[in-house]
Amino acid sequence: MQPTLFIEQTILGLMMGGIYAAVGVGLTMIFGVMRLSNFAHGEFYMLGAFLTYALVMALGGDPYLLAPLSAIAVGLVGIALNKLVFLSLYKELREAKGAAAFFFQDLRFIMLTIGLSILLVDLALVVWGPIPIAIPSVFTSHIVRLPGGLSFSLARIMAFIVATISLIVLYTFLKITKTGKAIRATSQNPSAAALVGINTYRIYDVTMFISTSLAALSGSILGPIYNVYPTMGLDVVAKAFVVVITGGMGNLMGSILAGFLIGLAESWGGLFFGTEYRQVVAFLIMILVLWFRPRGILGGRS
Amino acid sequence: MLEVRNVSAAYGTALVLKNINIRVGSNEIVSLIGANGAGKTTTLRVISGMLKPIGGEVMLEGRNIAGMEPFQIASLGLVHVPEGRGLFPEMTVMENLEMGAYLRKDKDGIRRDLEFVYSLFPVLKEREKQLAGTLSGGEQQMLAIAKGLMGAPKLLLLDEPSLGLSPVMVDRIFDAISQINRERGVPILIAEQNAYMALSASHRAYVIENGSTVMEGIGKELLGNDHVRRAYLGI
Repeated sequence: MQPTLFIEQTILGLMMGGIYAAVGVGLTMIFGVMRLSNFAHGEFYMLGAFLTYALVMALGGDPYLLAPLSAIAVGLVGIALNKLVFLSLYKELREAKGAAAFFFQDLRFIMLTIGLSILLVDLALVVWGPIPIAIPSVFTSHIVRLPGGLSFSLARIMAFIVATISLIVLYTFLKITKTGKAIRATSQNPSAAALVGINTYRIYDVTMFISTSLAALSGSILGPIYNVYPTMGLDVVAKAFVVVITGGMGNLMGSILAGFLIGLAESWGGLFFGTEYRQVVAFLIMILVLWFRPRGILGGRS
Repeated sequence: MLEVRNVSAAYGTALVLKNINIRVGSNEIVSLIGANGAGKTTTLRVISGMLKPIGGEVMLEGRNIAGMEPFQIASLGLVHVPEGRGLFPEMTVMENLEMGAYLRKDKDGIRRDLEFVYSLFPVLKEREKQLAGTLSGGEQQMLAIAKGLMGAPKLLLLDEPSLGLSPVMVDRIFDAISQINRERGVPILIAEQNAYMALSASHRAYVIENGSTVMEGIGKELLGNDHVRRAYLGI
């Protein structure tokens, strides 16, 4: 095999891994803070991509500049849905089981997120139709050539940069701000968080905003590279769950590590066994990791 | 300060509290003693809002707080150090103390209270940057109490402060509890299985049996009561 091809695929895998990490981190935060498995996570990814497309069509300009706007809008949709769909159930469960209710074991939550996923896919079908759309960007046609015969599209580099920056911003936010610390506290011990005066319902809103806007951002920045279509979230949510489980449920750093690992593994899998095996390799990695570390690479919530 | 009147509470359909009556005056240490499962922890959970009562009143400074959310009750100055210590295990000692002061805006007051808890438990200063989950049981209990104090409590609820600690550590914790009450004038309500320690340290005490308060008295007098001696002190 040519060393150039290997290096190129390795770098592409890591760049893709950055985006898997961003999608996975959003999903794992929802799990860590709300103990909720959000099967509609991929649909926020899809909504972000379509909204960016709509913004590009309406305002002109480049999707990489408009992506943050679309991410914020989808984040607000996330908050609205959280209040509308889940809030009354949180309150009911808390009253029935005390402050530390484990929502993910509740069938109603699982069905609600699956229903939400179906609803959002159908909504996108009605609004945008089933035909895949490409978001036009000036970066797609720019090829960056590096010494040694390596070349990457500028769009992929942009996507990786945006994903990485958003992860660094999120990490810093959780580490140093008061709200960030309250999110970590709620995730580690929800009843103790309520007892020090944290309004955990507000923390759920903030977490939902972060999670859905990260998904939307990821959809937006991949939109110009892959096509945008109503069911695009369904492939991604499976991958996101692989990342979350491999990294350890609810573990942020675990998801980041697992995102890069899965991205790399897929890329290498495609290179060594043929592109049809890319998906298989991701699941294989998850099974392997769970053999040796049943709680994921860095361990997660039990 | 606190008056709990005829409170009843249930987990699902299981009635766990039938008739709880407790009063904590300002500047008092009051303890709840009773067997495992008698309803001590549940009583504290009802007071701090973690469990909504099905009947009765919880009056804090003349205001009925029964049915309010825990974070609202916390904002009234009631601090509950719960069963299991209520720490954030993957945060540092310092971050846990900061979280204790989550609702406060008075930076000077927070700094003074930080100095006070470090003088009370110097080991916490040494372990400032360590993760709370890596502390020993005794250190975790100190941190739990210190974190509670950082909330500038008007009333402090402590659930089983002696649980899982060595006798030496139990003494140190109860010394600290007395010191907090003496120097800070904070009224404290303790739920405690170690009846001897609790009664010795408290001004007054209540005995809870099967979800009801059945006896009330001066701490040191209850130590001499025949029923209490037989049932809870094993004498």
